[in-house]
Amino acid sequence: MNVWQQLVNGVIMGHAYALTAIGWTLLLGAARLVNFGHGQMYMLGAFMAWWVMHATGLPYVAAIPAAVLTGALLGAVMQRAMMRLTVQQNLVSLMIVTLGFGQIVEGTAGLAFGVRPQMIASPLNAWTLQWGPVLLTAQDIAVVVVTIIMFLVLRAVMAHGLIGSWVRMVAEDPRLTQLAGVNISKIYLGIFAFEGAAVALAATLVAPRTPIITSMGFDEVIMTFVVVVLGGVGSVSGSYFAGLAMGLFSAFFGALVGPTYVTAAAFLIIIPIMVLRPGGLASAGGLSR
Amino acid sequence: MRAALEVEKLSVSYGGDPAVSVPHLALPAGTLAGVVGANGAGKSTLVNGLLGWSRGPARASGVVKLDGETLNGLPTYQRVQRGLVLVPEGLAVFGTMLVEENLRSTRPHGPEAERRAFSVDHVFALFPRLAERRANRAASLSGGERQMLAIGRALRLGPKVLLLDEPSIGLAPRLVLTLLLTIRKLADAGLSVLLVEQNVRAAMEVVDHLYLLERGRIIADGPIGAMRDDPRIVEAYLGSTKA
Repeated sequence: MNVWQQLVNGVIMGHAYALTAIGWTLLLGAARLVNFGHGQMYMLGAFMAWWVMHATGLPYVAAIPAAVLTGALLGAVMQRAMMRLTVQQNLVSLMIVTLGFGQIVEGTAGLAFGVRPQMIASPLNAWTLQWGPVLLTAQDIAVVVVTIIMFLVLRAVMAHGLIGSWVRMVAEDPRLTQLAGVNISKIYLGIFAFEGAAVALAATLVAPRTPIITSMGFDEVIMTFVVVVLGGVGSVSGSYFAGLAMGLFSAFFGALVGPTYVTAAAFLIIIPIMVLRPGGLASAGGLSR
Repeated sequence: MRAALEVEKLSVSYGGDPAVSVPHLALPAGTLAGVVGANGAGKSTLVNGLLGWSRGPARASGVVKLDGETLNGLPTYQRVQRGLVLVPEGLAVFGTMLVEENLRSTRPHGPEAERRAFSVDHVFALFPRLAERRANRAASLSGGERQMLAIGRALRLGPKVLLLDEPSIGLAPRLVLTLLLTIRKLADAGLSVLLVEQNVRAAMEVVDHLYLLERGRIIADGPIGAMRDDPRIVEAYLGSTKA
């Protein structure tokens, strides 16, 4: 085993997990809400980028904002439809609605884009770097850099911004937040738009590394859920480190045992952690950390 | 004088019969009025209903006018923005946030509210104890400090009319009077306040006007001088130590 290469692979994969999970981290922390349509929103982001490049001939850099905008819009539409359930914090209904929403997105995408695997032709894939025994592409570096920027920005906004403090107020007590003259519907809408935009951004950066297919959403949702929960519900830094840990674990376990069993092995470790530390690794956390 | 707060045919229900029904209520500007009554009389339901707000499934109907402006029909947050501000009973601070964050993130909406609003320093001057604890999480505050913070947050919003729901609950007797005297000071400075209190004796020390609520209805009201001798008040709340 090329240990250095696996280490680098793990770090890249970890950042990919963390970036994919960042929207859900905010969603779960602030709206106390799970989005089981998250994986399909990831898929849609990837396919929007592919379709923009394929159908219009626009370059990769122009496909990214198009996909992010679509993601934000989809998130906002989804939230509008669920606003009443969100304000009532009706979690069971929300789980079913988001799950169903994901299935509709997947079905629609299958009809629109076909069921064959596609490849997002990112020019960054062609730039490779060889450093001793380690090989990586500019795409890999972009994933890591953008992930770090996104987490630093989210952390700063949550800790110091007025909007961030309103999101934290909504997370703690939405009813009391109304009494501060804040329109909580708008806050929820913003959180969902961010969730949609962030997962689409993750898709445009992470998905070009492998072929994409319209049925890939489910695998994404499982790994994202694990990262968010392991990181400690709603903890921004916690999700980052949980993503990194999952990436390293996946890389080394995949190399030593086999990539097929990574998800099962991850749960073998996660279930005891959840039982012993129900709040996740960063328990007693808050949104600003 | 024009009423700071005027209510017509207010009715609040939890699905069935109205829990509170108030045909008319007018709070003159700069007045500190008390709302007293037994547990379950509907005191909280009344003040929450003025904002169309509830932690439960309550529905309010009727006319609510703030300084002549009709508020009914507006969502809660817009009524707050117009200057009708409520400090609800119990959990009225954000426990995970620092004391100072609680005050900074609660801020006036619009230039008009800004003119009335207290600055964070002004709140600290009113409640020096909060200044000492500014870097503590609100969850670590004592009951009295939490009430101060809750009122401080409300003042940050620049209220025209302040509704206070049982600010003295769970406080030591000495603190109750200090808190009520601070509220008196705010009213003397021109703020109109509707104060819900279960501690009738303490409330009567500071209010100008008293409403007695029973089973969701105002059964007596008047200036404090007259209400002090009202047999219903004396009998039910002041008991043998008749003043």
